Amino acid sequence: MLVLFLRHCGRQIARHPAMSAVTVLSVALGVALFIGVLVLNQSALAAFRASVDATAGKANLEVSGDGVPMDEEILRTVRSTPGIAAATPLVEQVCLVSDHPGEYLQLEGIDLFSNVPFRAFTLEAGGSSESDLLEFFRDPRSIALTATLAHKMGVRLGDRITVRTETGPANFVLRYLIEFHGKAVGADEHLALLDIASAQESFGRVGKLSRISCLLRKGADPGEVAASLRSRLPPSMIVQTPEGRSRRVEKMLGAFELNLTALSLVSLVVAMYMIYNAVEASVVRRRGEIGLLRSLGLQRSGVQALFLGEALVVGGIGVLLGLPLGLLLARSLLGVISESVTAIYALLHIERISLSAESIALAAGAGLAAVAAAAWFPAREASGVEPVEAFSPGTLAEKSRRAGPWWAVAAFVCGGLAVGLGWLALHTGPPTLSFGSALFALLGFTLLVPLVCREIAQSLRFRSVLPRLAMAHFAHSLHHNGITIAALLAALAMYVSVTVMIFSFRKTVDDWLHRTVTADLFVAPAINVRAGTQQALPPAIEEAVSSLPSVAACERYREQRILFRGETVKCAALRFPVAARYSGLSLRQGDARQVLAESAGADRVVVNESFAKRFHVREGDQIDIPTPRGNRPFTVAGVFYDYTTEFGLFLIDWGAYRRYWEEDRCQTLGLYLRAGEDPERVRQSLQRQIAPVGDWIVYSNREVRKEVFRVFDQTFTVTELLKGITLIVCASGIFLNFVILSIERRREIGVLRSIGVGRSGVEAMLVGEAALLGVISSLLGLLAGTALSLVLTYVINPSFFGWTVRWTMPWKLLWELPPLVILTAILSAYWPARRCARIPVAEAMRME
Amino acid sequence: MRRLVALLDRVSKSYGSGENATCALRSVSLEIEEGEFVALVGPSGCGKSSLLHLLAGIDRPSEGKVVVLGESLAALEERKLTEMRLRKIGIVFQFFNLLPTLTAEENVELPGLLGGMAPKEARQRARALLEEVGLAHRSRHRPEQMSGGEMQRVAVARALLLEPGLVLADEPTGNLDSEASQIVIDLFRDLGRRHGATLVLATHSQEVAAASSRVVRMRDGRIVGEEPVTAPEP
Repeated sequence: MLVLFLRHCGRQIARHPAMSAVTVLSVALGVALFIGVLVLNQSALAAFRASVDATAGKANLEVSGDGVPMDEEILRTVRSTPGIAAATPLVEQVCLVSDHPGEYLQLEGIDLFSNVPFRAFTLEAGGSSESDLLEFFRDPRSIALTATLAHKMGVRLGDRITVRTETGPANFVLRYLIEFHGKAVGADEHLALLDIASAQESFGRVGKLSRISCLLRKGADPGEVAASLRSRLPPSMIVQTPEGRSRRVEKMLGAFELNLTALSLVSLVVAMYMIYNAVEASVVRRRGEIGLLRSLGLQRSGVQALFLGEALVVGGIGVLLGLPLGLLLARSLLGVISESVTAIYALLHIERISLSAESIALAAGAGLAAVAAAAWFPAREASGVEPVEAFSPGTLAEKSRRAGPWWAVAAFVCGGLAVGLGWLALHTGPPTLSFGSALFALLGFTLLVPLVCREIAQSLRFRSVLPRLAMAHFAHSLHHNGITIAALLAALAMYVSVTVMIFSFRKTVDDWLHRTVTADLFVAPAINVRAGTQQALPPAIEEAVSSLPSVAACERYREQRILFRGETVKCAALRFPVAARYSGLSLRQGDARQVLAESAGADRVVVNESFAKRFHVREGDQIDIPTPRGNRPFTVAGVFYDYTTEFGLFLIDWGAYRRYWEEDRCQTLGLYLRAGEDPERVRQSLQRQIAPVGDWIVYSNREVRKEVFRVFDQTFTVTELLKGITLIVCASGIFLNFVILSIERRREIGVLRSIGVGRSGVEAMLVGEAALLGVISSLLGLLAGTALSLVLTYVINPSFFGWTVRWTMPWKLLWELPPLVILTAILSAYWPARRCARIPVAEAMRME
Repeated sequence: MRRLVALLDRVSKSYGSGENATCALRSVSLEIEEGEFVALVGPSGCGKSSLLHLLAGIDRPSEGKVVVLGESLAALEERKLTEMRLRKIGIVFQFFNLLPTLTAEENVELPGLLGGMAPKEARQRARALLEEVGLAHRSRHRPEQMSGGEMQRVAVARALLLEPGLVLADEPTGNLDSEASQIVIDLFRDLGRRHGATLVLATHSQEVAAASSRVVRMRDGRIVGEEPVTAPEP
C-alpha cells in the first residue's frame, strides 16, 4: 500500500508541477530562513567559543581587568592562591595591519614558558616540525599568524608585518603559522601570537597584563578557588571560567538572537499559510478522487492520512531544498552579522558555518511540523467529504461560513489580551510577553476579517451583472477568501509594522544624533572604526589636537565594559562640564546641563534608559559600582535617552573615573570648533598633522551619522529579507486562492459560458474579485500593521531594550502599499482566471 | 428459498428542508435476492441513483429501513459502513472514476490493498480479473491511454476484486457507444454468474434492462412496476 501511495503521490506531483512547486518553494523558503538564522546564531557563538578556547587553552579559570590593564603584581597573588597549579599572563591588543587595508590582528602576547601546559595550538615553522620556540627568543619581533590569514594577506614565513599600535607602527617578522586543536578549531583567523615582553613594549603596556589564565591543582574545587581569588584581588577584577566568558557574550547577544529567531519563525508561519492553501487547492481539485476512495471503502482517517502524507512528501522535498538554501543564506550573511555584532556587541569574525546534526534535525523537524500543522485542516476537511456529494458537481458549490457576532467578541477579547500582555511585559516582565501582545493584536484583526468582508459585500451595489456576480461570489466564498485575506493581512501587517518601526527608530536615532552627538570633528584610532573600541589615543595626539587654535573645546571619551550586579554593562568616561555646555544629551527628568555640571568630579553617574530598566534604578538612587579601588557608592544623577546599547551604559565624569580606575587615556576625542571654522578644512589639516604619529582617523559629524546609519541598516538586513518574502507570499497566496475558487466554480462558470458570457467576461469577473480582495487586505493590513507597529515601538522595544522610540509614520507607505498589493492581486489572479475562462463548457456542465 | 441480499422497507429520501425540500424517493419497498441481476429503469430524476446511493451506504434515508447483506445500514456507524462498502459492496460509476495517476492494474488492486490483502495476492487477483474482462494487455496503461469501454471494464474488475455480495452500477453504459455498451453488458451478466454476485444497476438503456433478470420501473421517486426478464443466452 505504501508503494502504491508513493507512486500515486509522485504522479500527482508530476501532474501538477506548478502547484507542487509552489508548496515545495514555500516550505523551502521558510525552512531556509529558519535554518539560516539558526546557523548564523550558532556560528556566531561557535566562533566566540573557539576564540575563547584558543586564547584560554586548557585554563580552568581566568582573571582579567575586563578591558582595563592590570598590574603584573597580580600574577604573584594569583600564583600564591591555594588550589592554583599554574598561571600564565597574557597581554592583548587589536591592531590594524599596515599595507593591508581593513585587515586587523588580535595580538596575544604570551609567556612562552608558563604558557606550555595551557596551549590549544601548535606552531609550524616552514614544514619542519617545531617543538622549540627558539625564534621567539632569538628575535623578540617574531610573530605567529594563522595560516588562513597569512594566505589571505599573501605573506610568507620570514616576511615583515607592520601593525598600528597605540604608540605607533610596530614591525614584526612572521616566523610561525598557528594550528589550532580541539575546541579551538574555528577560532578567529585574526588571532596572532608574540612574546609577552615584546607585546608589552610594543603596546606601551610595560608592567601591565590583560588576563591571567590559571590551571587548578588536581581535586581543587573551581568555585572555592575562584572565591579565594576574588577575596585576594580588587573587586573590579573578574574571576571566571573560560566558559563563563563565553556565556557572558552569549547573554549579551541574547536579544539580538531572539529577534532573529522570532523573524525566522515568522517565515515558517508564512510558509504554513502557503502550504495550507496548496493542500486546500488539492482537496478541492480532487473531491472526485476522495469520493471514489471513500466509496471504495477508505475510512475518513485514511483520506486524512493520504493528504497529510502527500503534504509531508512534498514538504519533505521542500525541507531538503531549504536546508542547503539556508546554508547558502547563512554563508552570504556571515559578513553582515559579523559586522553588526562587532559594531554593537563585541569583536567577532565568523569564518565558518557551524552546523550540527541537532540543528539540521531541528530545522527539518520544524519544517515538517509546520507542513503537518498547515496541512492538518484541509486534510481533515477532505476526510469530511461525503462520497455522494463528491460525485455531484452540482454540490461543489461554495459553502460560506457565516461570521457571527462572536467573531467580534473574540476580536475584542484578543485586543484586551494584547493590551494586558503589553502592560505586563512593560511592568512586571518577562519581556517575551510582549510577543504575546503582538500576536493577540494581530489575531484580533484577523478575526475581524469575515465581518468586514460581509459588510463590504452587503454595502457595495452594482448595476452591471458581472460586477454583481463577482460581488456575490466574493461573499459566498468567504471560507477561502476570508482565509486568504486574513493571511495577507498578517503578512502585510508584518511588512507595515516592521517598516514603521524601522522608520520610527531611524528617525528617533537621527534626532538623537542631532541633539547628542554635536561635536564637529572626532579623532579615534583607526582600529576602533574597524573592530570596535580597542585602542586608546596617545597623549601626544591629545596635546596636538587640543592646542589647535580652531578648537573651542575638546571632549574626551573612553568606554569599557564592567560587570555590574553580575551583568555586563558599559561605563563611559567624559568631561561633564564640556558635555553640559556643548552636548544636547536629554534626560528623562531634569535639565541635562545642570545635572552634568553639578555631577562633575563627584561620585555621580548618569545612566541610560536600558540601564535604568534592567537594574530597576531611578534618579536619586545610590548604586555600588565595582572599581579597581573597590566597590564605590555612586548616586544616579539622571537617566538619559540613548540608543547605542541595550545592555546598559552609565556616564561618569573623568574626575571620578581617574580617581577610581586610575586610567587617563581616552579613546575618542570630540572637537567643538570655534564659530566660523570650516570643519572640512580643519579635518584635512589635522589629518595631515597627526598622520605621521600613527593610524588615526579624523571624521566629521556628517560621517559619524553616515556610519551610524550604515550599521543601523546592516542590522536590519534580515528584516528586509523578511519583507521580500512577505510580498512573495501575497502573490502566491492570491494565486492559490484563485486556483481553488476556479475549481469550485467550474460548473457555474460553465453555465455562464453556455448562456453567452464571453471568456473576457469570466476573466474580468475573477480578476475584479481579486482586486477587491487586494483592496480589503491592503487596507486591513495597513490598519493592523499600524497597530502592530505601536506594539513594536511602545511594548517590544522598551521591554527588550529599554529604548524610548518615538512612533513616526512613513506616510508614503499609505499610498504606495495598496496599489502595489492590488496590482499583485490582479497579476496573481490573472492566470487562474484565464485558465478558468477557457474550460470546455460541456465538460464543466457534466453531471454524474 | 434464496437468501435476501438487500431490502428496502418504505424508504423515503428528501433533499433540502421546508419549502425547498425535494423528494427523491417516496416510500419505496424492494427486495433483492442473492444472484439476481436487477435493472432499475425510469426517466431522469425518477430516483434510480438515489436508491443506489442508499444501497451503497453513501447516503442515508430520510425515512424507512435499508438492509444490505443482513445489516441494517441505518444502525451502522460510519466506520462499519465504510468497512462494509469495502468488503461487501462493489460500485461501478457512469464516468468510471478511475484514479488517473494509477495504471489499470493498480486501480483494480486498490480495494484489495485497502482491505489489507497481501500486495502480491492483490496483484495476482487484479491481473486475473483484467484477463477475465479482456484487458490483460492494457494492465500497465493509465486511464488516459484507454477508451471509455476499456475504462469501464477496468472499473467492473475493480468492483469485483473483493468478491462483494452486491455490485451496484449507476448508468454503467451511459457514457459508452453501443459496441462498448454491449461488451460491458455481457461482462456484467457473465461475471455476475461466474462470481455469484448480485447485481443492481440503474439504466436508461433497454439493452441493459433486457440483459437483467428483473426490471424495476421507477417514476417520481416511486416503484411503479416490476417484471422478470428471461434473457436470451449469449
